[in-house]
Amino acid sequence: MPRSLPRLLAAALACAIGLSACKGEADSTGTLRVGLVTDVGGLNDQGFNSLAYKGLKQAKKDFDVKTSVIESQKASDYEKNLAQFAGEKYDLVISVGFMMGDATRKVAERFPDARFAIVDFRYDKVLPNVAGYTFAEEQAGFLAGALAALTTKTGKVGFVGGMDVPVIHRFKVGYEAGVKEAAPQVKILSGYTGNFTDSAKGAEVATSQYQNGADIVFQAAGASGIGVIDAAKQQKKLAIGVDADQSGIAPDYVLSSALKKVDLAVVKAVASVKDKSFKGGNTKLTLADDAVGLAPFGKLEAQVAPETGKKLDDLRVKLADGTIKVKLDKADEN
Amino acid sequence: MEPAILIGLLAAMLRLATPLLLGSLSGIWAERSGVVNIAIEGMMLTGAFAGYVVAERLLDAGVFDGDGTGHLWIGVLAAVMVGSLLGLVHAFWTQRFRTDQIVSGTALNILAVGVTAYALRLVYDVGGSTKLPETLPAILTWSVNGKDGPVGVSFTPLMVLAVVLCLLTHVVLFRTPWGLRTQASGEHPLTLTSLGLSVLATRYVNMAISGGLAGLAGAFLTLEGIGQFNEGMTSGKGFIALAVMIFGRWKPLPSLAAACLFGLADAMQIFLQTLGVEVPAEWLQMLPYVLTLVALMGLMGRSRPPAALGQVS
Repeated sequence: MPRSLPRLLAAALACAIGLSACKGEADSTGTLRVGLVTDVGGLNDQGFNSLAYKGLKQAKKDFDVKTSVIESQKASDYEKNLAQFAGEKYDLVISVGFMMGDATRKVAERFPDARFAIVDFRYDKVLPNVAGYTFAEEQAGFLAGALAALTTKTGKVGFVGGMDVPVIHRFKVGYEAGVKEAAPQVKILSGYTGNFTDSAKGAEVATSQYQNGADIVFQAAGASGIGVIDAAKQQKKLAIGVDADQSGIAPDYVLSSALKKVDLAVVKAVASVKDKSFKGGNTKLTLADDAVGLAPFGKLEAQVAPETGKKLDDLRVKLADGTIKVKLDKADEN
Repeated sequence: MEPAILIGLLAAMLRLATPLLLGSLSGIWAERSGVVNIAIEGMMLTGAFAGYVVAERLLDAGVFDGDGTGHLWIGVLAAVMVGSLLGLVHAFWTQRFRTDQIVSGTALNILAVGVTAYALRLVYDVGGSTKLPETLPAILTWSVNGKDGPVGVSFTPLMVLAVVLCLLTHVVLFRTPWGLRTQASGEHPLTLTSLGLSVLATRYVNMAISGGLAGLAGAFLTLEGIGQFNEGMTSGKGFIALAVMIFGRWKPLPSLAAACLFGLADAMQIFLQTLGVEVPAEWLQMLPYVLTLVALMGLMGRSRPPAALGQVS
């Protein structure tokens, strides 16, 4: 047996992995090129990353740019993946996710001429070539909390988070504030799965909450939250989705979703490069920008009392004009 | 504590322990024959993917209607076969080409993450896979009324199968000629050779079994669990299964106990979070791992791997 065969196999394998990771389009025409790097949740998470991809496709259509995506397989790849686009002189490199904050800063410092945009991260020390987009998750969480508190029949509602990072914590703080505003006597059970991928764990955390009396559980747990929606189905209770409208996963059990339009941030970032208005700094997208909100009730409209709908509209207006402010800790601002 | 809470914990323990038990059995079959298999995680993930996609596609194509479970069982079969195939690949690399067993295992793990993510996109594009309308139904459900409504413990087919396979592994490993052959292959391969038996063949067969069991663990996650595949959904269960195997001293019955202990610790930490204990969630989440560390310390010196583990014949 030739000794080179295993090496050949290994090389073929490396190529296959390389190909699967990057579906790029070479360029020589001068069209703008935009590279997007996802976090480990992957493009099929039916929430955060898939919304970013939706935004990228939108931008491709609207602004006639060329786009490439790298899906990060592990956290230690973030820097490498970002540097790949920056090194190939892409006009804009987009990082999707809080987890990529440090990696983006490092790569941005290494490539001062490249432009970066990051979703879900703001830098206290502004970098001239990084635009950070964050969302007012607390407002979306607030509306979800009010909806849950006004709809619960057991007087207990649940919250399932992925990890206790600022982005998720903003959802939680908003949710708690929303419950308190709408029906202060309603109790909140909460738990974390410890990651954003383990859907089986998400199902267990939610099942535990349902079995202890919650009848509506709001999840902000990425792909592990898909398990929360499955638990709602198994236990014949209700779930509130996150980021995208997740009612498609289980239309009879997803009451609504706390929307966070990541696609909007991606489109805005690409637009700023296109019209040459790009500059480093932090932008917070809010209800007033129509960047966060609550998804329509869909099939479960009948479960929601008409006065609840009115109350939510009222709260929405008050949040947007600043009459109601959700109080955040300093640590949650990031 | 009221009975409903205990039942709830027991049910969660069984669900959390099943993939760990299957994973540890996968490790036992491989390592008892002398092959280090750290690719259980990757085999599990690929099995979860293959099982889900086959079942979902069959349903989508109208070969089965959603009322039956035929498509799910064919999915289970596909998961086992794909796992076995990866097991054979691992055996081929490590035994035929004498690749380092850790390197081959790591390569398979990385490959599994990439291939499943890529294939998922090929089949469903972006926007996510659809959810299967039903998963494998429980054979037996026992429920009691708690103060917050009924709480039940369900015994699902793959859960029961896992326990049966555990007992079967025990019998085969310690009571049959094949079991002796497997042990010889892992402890002292030359004995086999001197008897005119093939070490290579023994390891190939055992790796196929090992891979199949890991694939079955994957099928449990998608076809009996949430009815959907998402990227990286095994989240390290294959590695925890290895710890369970070591904790179980490379023996099936102690591994069953170890898997249950681990599952119970995990169920406990979730329950404590729900209760709203004033301890950061991260600390509670450590509970199963701390327990493993403590238990392993207690076992120090008494848990001994097969002597010829990782060696090539």
